[in-house]
Amino acid sequence: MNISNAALIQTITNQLATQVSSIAQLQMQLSSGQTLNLPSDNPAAVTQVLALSGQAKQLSSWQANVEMATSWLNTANSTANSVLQSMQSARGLLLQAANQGAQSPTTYQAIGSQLKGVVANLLSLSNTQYQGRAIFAGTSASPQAYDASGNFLGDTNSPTVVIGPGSGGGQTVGLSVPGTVMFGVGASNVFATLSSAATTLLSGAPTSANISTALNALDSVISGAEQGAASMGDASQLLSSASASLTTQISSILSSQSNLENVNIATATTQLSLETTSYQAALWAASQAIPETLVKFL
Amino acid sequence: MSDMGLSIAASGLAADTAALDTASNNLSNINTLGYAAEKVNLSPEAATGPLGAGQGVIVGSVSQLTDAVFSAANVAAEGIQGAATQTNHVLRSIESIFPEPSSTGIASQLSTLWSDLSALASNTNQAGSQQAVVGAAQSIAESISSSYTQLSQLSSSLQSQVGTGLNDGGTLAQANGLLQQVAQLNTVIVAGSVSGQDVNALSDKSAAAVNQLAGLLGVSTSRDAHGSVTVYLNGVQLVAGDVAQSLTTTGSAATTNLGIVTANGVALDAQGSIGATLTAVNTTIPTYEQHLNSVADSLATSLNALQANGMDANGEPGSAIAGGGVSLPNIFVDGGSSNAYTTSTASFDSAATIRVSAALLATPALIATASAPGPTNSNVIGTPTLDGTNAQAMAALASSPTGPDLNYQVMIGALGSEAANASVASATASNLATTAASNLSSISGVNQNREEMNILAAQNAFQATSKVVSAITISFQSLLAAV
Repeated sequence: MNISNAALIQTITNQLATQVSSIAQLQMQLSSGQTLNLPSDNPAAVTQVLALSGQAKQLSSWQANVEMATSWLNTANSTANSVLQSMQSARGLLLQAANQGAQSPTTYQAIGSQLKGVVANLLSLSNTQYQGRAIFAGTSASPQAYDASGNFLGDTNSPTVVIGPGSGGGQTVGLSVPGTVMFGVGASNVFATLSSAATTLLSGAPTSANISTALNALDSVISGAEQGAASMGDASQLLSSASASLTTQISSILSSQSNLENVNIATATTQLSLETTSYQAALWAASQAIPETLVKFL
Repeated sequence: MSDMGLSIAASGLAADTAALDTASNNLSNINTLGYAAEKVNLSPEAATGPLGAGQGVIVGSVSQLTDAVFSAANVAAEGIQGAATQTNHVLRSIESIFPEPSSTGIASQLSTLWSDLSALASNTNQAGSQQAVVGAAQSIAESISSSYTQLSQLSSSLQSQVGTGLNDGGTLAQANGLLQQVAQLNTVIVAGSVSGQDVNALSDKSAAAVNQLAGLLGVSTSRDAHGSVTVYLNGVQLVAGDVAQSLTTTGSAATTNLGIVTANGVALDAQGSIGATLTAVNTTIPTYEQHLNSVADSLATSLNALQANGMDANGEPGSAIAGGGVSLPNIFVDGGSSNAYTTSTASFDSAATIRVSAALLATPALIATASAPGPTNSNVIGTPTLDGTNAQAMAALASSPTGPDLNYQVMIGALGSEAANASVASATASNLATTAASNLSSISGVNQNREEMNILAAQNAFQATSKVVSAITISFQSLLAAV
């Protein structure tokens, strides 16, 4: 075939341009550390990377929620233990007042003032805060769950955080039960019950009916509080298993993402040196081929 | 035989000179675009009588080395390459508007919005968290509308690249100029070839113009016996004899109906780079604008619906909740409205003007973090609450199968595939064009070695014929001396 000089030069130019463009692409991959720089670099992988990084971010949000919920529930659980202890000690005092038959007014008054101390202690526990939020105020914006006279200021929602996929906002975990669960509802709450019992005892002459009414009311509060404490304990357990599973999921997603988009340095550098070698060979061949014509030998 | 063969030698010298001239012309045009190598056609002059030698050599013509099949293939390949290259350029430009995956792209901004909403759900009344959500929403709206603007700018710059066909420097005006040129050359070529002149250089010019036309419009051609070229596009004659059509555009990029018509109003389905530009402007770019619209619509409608059915941290109800109070503003609005978002239609592009409502920008606390009062909660309209369940629902849109993230991923996947295909098609077309050009060049290209051999041959023949002249001269002299 008759190869004209113009065609020879055009062919060499095209081939060199192809090689330079693959060298440029490898160089870009190596300097950015990424194989995917534009959607067309690998459309399927790019879509997957977008989905994976969105997923990773969502999992990290849930992870952050789990951490926040864990430390909230640590506060809530230890507070709930103290609350139960205080309630048990109040129960002990009431039993003491009830058991021994008629006692001297001073004994009743001593028990009554101890009971007052317990009420004050419970009231301060009921207003325990986590980062400025009263943990037993439900989702109310009130900074206190109970006022000084033991009236509930919060609402009966249980604050929640999302820790995984699910319907609505996702799978939620309750942070702490509202005060109505922990301390009883309205006039029969622990503060009203114990305050009125203390007042009766301080008067020095309580009737056994007074005391047994107070005991019954207290028992029902305690059983509610125990259930509340148990549910917060369950939530803590749920969180620790959720945390472990989120950590595994995040690391597996990050590793598939990195497999898709990060440059395999060894492969890319080998490829680059291959391309460079063949580019040099092509340049050498071109420099040899182009100047050769019959003129040189005439 | 009265001149003892001097006239025979003279015809040989003339033939060798013609051969040297042709080789010299070929070598001079070795790098001229569209030049077809020439060769001298010689024929022997017959003897005049029954006895005796022939009467020398006749220089018949100087003809071009061309091949009709390879020329037509070359013209077709130019058209395909013109289209493929332009399509590839357009898709590269679109891709550069969406350089995913990146840490600053729309996908990453959406993820940031969802995780900011998730953080807000646990800190509903914190100004910092509220500001973060509104800021993230604003940056997405800005990215969507600026991407849309870049797409429509690309579209209008492509339209001005084509131009109107009038003398405005556009590619269509260039094509019109070439059509004129081919028609004028036809006139000269026909006149020249009828009167027996050498029209090779004019044919080269005409072929070069046709090649450029093929790249621009994807035309095909035929050539008659006198060398007059007829240029066709979709069976319509753009150049016939000395008459050239003048093409103009109709419609516009903005209305996605940019087209090309002849002066008689016949619509043409242009190929080549102009055809590819029309496809880009009328189909490709509008497709991605629609994709962006659906990203904007799914983002705005899903978040606005949750906003309308929720309550902010101060207990103000969303617009869909009855029960007094000031109703909350929408999160996203379209540019023309203070509080309404209109989804895109055939004649309205929501992505162009989506933005965060001014009321929310001024007061980020107006975001509906709490659920509306209902059987599952004790929320009350007008009562401040730290309930974050509505913000949780907003954050859950991250994995919604109808959410903006998936819409955007679909769009990027489609863009990536289309751009990757265009890049392969462009490389293939370029190979095809190179092959076609080298096929043609194998016939009509100038081969330096061949020309040098021709020079040597002509030179040797010239020297030998000169010897004949000198021999005849000496013979004459001896004859004259003997007389």
